[in-house]
Amino acid sequence: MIKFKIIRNIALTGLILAGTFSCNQEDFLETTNKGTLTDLTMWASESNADIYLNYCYSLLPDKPGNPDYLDNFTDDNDVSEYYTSYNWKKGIVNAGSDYFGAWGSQVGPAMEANWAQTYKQIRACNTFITNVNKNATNFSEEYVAKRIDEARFLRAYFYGELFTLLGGMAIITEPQDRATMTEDQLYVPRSSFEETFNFIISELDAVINNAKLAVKYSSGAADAGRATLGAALALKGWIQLFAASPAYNSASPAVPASPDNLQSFATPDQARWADAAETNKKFIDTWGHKGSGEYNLFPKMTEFWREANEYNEEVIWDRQYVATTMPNNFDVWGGGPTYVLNTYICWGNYSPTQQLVDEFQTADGKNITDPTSGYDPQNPYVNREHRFYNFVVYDGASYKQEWMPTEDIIRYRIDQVHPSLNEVDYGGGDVGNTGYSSKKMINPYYTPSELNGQNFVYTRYAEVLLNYAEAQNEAVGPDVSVYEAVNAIRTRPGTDLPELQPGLSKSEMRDAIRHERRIELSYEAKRLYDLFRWKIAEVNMNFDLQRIVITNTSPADNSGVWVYTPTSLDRPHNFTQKMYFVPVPQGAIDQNPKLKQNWGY
Amino acid sequence: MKKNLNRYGLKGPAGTIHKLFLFMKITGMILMFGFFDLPATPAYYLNDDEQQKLTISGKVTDSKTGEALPGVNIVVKDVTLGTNTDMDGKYSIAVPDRDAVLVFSFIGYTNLEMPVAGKTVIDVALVSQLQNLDEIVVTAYGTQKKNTLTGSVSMVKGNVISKIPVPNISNSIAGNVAGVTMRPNGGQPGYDNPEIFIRGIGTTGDNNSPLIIIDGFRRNNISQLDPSSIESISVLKDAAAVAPYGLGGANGVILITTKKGVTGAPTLTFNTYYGWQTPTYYPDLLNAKDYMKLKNEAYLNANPGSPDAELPFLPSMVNDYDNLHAQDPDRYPNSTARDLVNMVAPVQNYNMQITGGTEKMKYFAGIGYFKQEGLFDQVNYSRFNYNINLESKVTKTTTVSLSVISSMERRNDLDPSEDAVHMFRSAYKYLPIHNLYYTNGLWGQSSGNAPAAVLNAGGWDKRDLNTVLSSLSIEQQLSFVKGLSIKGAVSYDSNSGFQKGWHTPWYYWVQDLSTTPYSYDRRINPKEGGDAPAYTYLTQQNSRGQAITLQGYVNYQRTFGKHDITGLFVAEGRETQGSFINARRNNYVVSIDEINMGSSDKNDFDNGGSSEIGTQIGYVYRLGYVYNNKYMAEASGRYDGHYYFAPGLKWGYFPAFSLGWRLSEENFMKNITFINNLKIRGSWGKSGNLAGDPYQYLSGYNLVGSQYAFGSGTMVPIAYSPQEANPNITWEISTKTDVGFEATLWNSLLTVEADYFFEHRTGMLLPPAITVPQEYGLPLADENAGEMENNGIELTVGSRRELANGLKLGFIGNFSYAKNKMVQVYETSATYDNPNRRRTGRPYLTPFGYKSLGLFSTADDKNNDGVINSEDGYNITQFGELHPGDIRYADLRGQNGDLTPDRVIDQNDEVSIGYPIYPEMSYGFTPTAEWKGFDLSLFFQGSARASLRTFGFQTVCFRNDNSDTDYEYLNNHWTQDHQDAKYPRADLGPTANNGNDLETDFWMKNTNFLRLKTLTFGYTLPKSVLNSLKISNIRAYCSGQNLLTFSNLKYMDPETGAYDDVGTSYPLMKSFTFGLNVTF
Repeated sequence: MIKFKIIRNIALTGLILAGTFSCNQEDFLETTNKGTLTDLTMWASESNADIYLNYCYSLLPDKPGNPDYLDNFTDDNDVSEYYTSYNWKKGIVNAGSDYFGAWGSQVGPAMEANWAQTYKQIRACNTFITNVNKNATNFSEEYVAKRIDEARFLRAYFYGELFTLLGGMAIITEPQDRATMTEDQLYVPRSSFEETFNFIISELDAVINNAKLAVKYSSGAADAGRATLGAALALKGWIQLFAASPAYNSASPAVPASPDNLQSFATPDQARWADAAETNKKFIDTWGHKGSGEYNLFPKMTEFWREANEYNEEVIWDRQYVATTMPNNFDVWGGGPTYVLNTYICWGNYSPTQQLVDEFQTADGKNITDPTSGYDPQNPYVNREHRFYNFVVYDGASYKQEWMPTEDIIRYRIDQVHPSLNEVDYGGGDVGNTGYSSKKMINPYYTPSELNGQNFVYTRYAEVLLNYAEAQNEAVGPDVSVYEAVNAIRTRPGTDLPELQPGLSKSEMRDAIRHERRIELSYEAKRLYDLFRWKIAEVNMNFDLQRIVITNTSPADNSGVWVYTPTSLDRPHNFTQKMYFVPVPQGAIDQNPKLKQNWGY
Repeated sequence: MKKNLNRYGLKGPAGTIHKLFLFMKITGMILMFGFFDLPATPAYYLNDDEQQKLTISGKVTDSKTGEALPGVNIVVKDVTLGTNTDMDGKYSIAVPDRDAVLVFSFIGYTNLEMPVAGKTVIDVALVSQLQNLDEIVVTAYGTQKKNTLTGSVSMVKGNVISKIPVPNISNSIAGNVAGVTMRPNGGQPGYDNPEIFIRGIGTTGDNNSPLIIIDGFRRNNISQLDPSSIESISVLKDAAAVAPYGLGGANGVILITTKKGVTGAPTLTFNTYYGWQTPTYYPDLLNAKDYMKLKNEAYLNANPGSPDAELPFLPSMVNDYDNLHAQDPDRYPNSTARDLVNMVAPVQNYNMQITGGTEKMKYFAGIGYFKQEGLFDQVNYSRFNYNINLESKVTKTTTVSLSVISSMERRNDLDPSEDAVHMFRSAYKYLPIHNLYYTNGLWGQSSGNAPAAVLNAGGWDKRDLNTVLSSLSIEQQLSFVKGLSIKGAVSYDSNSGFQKGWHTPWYYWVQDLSTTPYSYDRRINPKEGGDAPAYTYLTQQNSRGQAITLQGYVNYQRTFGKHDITGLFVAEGRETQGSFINARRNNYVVSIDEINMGSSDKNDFDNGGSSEIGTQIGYVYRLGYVYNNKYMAEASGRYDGHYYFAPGLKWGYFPAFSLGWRLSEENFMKNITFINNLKIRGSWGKSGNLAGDPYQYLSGYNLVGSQYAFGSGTMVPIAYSPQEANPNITWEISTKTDVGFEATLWNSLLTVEADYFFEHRTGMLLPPAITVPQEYGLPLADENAGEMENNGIELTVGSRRELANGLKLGFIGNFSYAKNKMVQVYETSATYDNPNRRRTGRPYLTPFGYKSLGLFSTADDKNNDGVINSEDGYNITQFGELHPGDIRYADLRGQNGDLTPDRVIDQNDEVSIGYPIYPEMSYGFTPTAEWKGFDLSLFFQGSARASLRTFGFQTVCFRNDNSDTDYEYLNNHWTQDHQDAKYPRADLGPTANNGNDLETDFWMKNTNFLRLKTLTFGYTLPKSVLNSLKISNIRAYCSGQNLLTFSNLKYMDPETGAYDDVGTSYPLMKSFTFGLNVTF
């Protein structure tokens, strides 16, 4: 009996031990990671591969989602000291910094197109192109041709975004693999400005010439948002215009030429203007209002960005946003005045400077500096052009968005009797400090919230017209086609300005185009590139920008008159020559000693 | 029937409870028999009528004092008979035969076995454990004798820990155990688990927490345990102690043992306390008048000479503000954000335990309830616990144990778009000149913050977590080899989480002053930054987790003359699984918080979920040899396999060796009578630490839903490669060396334990930045390249003395010091090449910044233009425009490693500016006194050599756009008349163009502190009173927590939770509690 018990006890305990360890140990430790897809599944079918291309699209820069919007870096807008742009305007830009965030960084306007992020985008495109080619048997020929062109367009766009800020880049067209590649293949030096430019143009040419993509998608098309031939041609026209500009294509470029010609062409060539003109002309004549008409100016600028008007005839290339799930946060940072109907609604980041406001013409199309314009500095907001009233909120402006039950009169003046919540407070709260707010692009249906699904338009047809006018004026002079292009914008219904005065000199026309560009494209993340390529940042960004101070001569009871005094914003303004370009991050150079730094850093 | 009761040793008034436990016992037996066959004729059911009877009586006393000991358990060994001594220490028990053995046991005393040997009167003297050197210590996979232990293990009894009225013990280990430091995480109920470190921080990786083992199984459930259910806590520190945990042991191990049944008549214990908590520090924010004055001062600083009319607030109005406010508080508010907070929050705890049993069957059961209110009505934490432990000797050689530890927790918080912590930030941001509440009871907002709206909107967030930790073990003595036993143990732990959040739009009211009376319009508040939707939504998440661990033990323990040999082998397999599913719906028209009641538009739907599985196998051994209780040698280790790593790289071996020498056993020491025990010991070994995430050896594409859109907003998924795999990835290895000594002197008048340790950690994950250029475009998986050293000392000192007048004095103190150094760490050439900035060679998380030279004074502004620049002979470019009252920085270096200052303050001028935030030193001491029923215990805890960046709402003028300021700043800031100030001059914005906000030693403060963590004063009713009540013990006490703090920081808690924006975390609490312990 005792013996039996012992044997049984051993048997039972042994069973437990055996139960624990009888299974194959390696199998037990071999768990499946269900969170990931393998190479095999990723490229197995068109629908699977599309998921990867979706990733490439999702990397499109979320420009309006950045609280330090690109126009913060310009003379058009004033924003407070928290921001990276504020440091940059102080003259602080540091190649050693690897923080590309909106707040207090020292990287300059590279935030959205920084080195590391750009090469992540490029690798994504390269990965797609390489793998779709490698697994071509899994896809239809049409799929391969079309999707690869989309990826090539995206790659060219990503290259262009950094090229326009930084100059010559390391050109990499396939996903690098450290297991198989030689050091020379892995450590790629920067190509010259010209080589990088040529690469982007040749890629776009290939996409355009393949003609596999749609010219344009209309609202409601399932593929709306994908790359188009229109986007490719417009991007080509812009890159050509950019490169032809004096900062890179002149005897005295923005920064001194280096032996590697990383930041300018080795040889200036005025013919580059003609190339730019030709491309933009081709757009206008083939698909624009002088051609098939798929692209044209949208007749109602005040409603251009509304969700209902996405993919209207003027939209060429945009980024998608969807209410709630993938909202556009543009409004949160500065959706008009900070307080509306006494309600706090946004951070008030978009505060036009007095300099931008002064750029708006009078209703009859004259500059306010023109003595015949009838402009009265003590009654400055009357009789201005329509775009002023469409874009800018000023003291005394009537403000009525769709969501507002009643209109509100916005006050920025310093009023001791009836203090307004929006009164400029210079450094205190979220209220802007210039005495103006921008209301361009704001979703009128909601207070700033995640309900804003408006797409952000990178490129619209008006820009193509302005690109053409500028290039043609520089290449040939102010011929009829230049006037036509600019006047098309000035006379657009809703803008309704008189046509340009005939007989302008080339230089006068240049000023007119630059003026038109600043107003028409204001707050569309365009101004900074113009400041750079026109080589005017050293003047415009070294200027003590101003706000408007409106006070009563009898502040205690407002019985006096209201006095409008443009006053210094007292913001730092220390633009140095090197800042025409952002630096290559020191970290990137540390990791690839073949990379050369930009001038001055 | 009576006989049966007697057999269980049950008698007296608690009969109904006995029945309950009889039921439970039977249930337990049934459960066990499901796993283990019932023995044919268990000893348990022997008919004792067949036995011959004999009655023994006697008296039990304390061996030292000779005092009678009441309540001592006496049982007959191997038979189920038992009794207790009475108030005079006397007992009487019937034994079956002359060869019976009596076992005397009493808490705090060593068990004593006494053969009857035909005697009828047996008087015994029990030895107090304080003098006992045969103390048993819980160690990895078993227990070891304290006196021959060669590893570094600190143990603290549960009754020490449970004295501290905190929700869970993680808040009370530091200071009670040498080598343990902690850093609190704020005081929000249910979210206040501190970070605990054993021997400091030894790794730069994320995983720097110790392993938690509860009752022999890996269970990260420290916060689910009822403190009063804990028997003891062991902290394993050196390699010898942690090696059996293989790649889980490098950060140290905390072993928690819960209470088991104690042989004897049932003892019912009831504990309760009720208390009131209040923040240790609460900010003292400016009132409306002082706010406006400071605003004007700042404006004048920025715009010198401005006329009164241009100032933000007319000085005449400000001066008259008290009067204006009294007349019309709606137009002239003076809000106090503190009004949002309940400054007194109750905490309550109830706990009942019953224990008892016989040699055959011991049981313990406990049930507890804890509730802690928060500083807002909606915020609280509650926990219901129960635990059962049954241990049965089913045969003479077989022991079966079953244990269930269960908890049900609920954490309530504010609206899912808000949380309690952020509310404290909102309070700082609430300007006192804005109406928090109008006189009509409606509420307003300030700069996008409407905290009153959040509190009144009706949104809520509820998180439930139900945990069951169950385990079963069967131990079998193998009689054919003496000293050999085997044990099988299994644990099945499961938890289920449920989370539900209900957001309703936050409304507030805008006041229109132009009407009479004033009129109020309701508005929706989107929260600063627009994070709170203007629609109602509901989120719900269900999660489940489970862990199964199987253990097989072979244990050998035998003494051959002077040779003690022990051997342990354990095979362990473990599998964990977890999954969750969540859902959300937006736009509720009807206000019913059920997922189906929301919008039926699919665009308002969202859901998600995932699952994971993890496995581990380990083989543990420990071989010990002790010669003559004098020389000890031990080898232990583990061969460990883990699913994290690539095939072929899943297994690691972690060995440890240790030696000990008890000098006090040597003949030459025998004459030194005051030394009771003196031991020196040393250990060396390796242990591992998991770092990073699983599957880093695999490349693949992550699939993520709804990341982009085409067409009319059709969301599409994306897939991307998060990183390039590192097929060779492995664990961190910690090589630990430890030497220590233990001494007991003058019969425990003084006990000392001291250790020196050195740890070398290798294989820490670092980004392999140098391998490929940035243009590679794909992050590489980390590589095991980091190296760090960590060393320090620990000291524990104890003393206990009893005076002739009956006063008992005790003292336990401990001290820990640990300092680490990064040997190999990722850093750029820019920092490495500059010795001031070099991270390598410095402690982990050392802060860097500019060296400050104090504030500029008006004397520095030589030309008196209000600006300090080259015209004043100051030729150093700092940041923006400098004024008297701004921070002056030291220009130390030039560009690119140039040693000469370059008159520009930039990154090259950075230096190390303080200690890391976690303390290098930590200490605690507990003086105790007992006299005639009164007991007093003071638990002090402190830490030193840790720094905190104090730049925050308390120390900075208008810290954030439109925020209020603290009186700490106002009373100590720079003005023309107060040049020798603590804080810079007033600016309109915190980051005004002056660089005062940068990382600098100016803001770094040492957080050295000593605090009276717990004070307890209790009174135990005299036995004479209790006897008449038939109650064995009643103790009433009052206790206070965090009552006193000695720190240089007068305006914030030195242990403040937030690392970044100090002062905006949920405050730590001080509390006053009253409690009662009753034992029947």
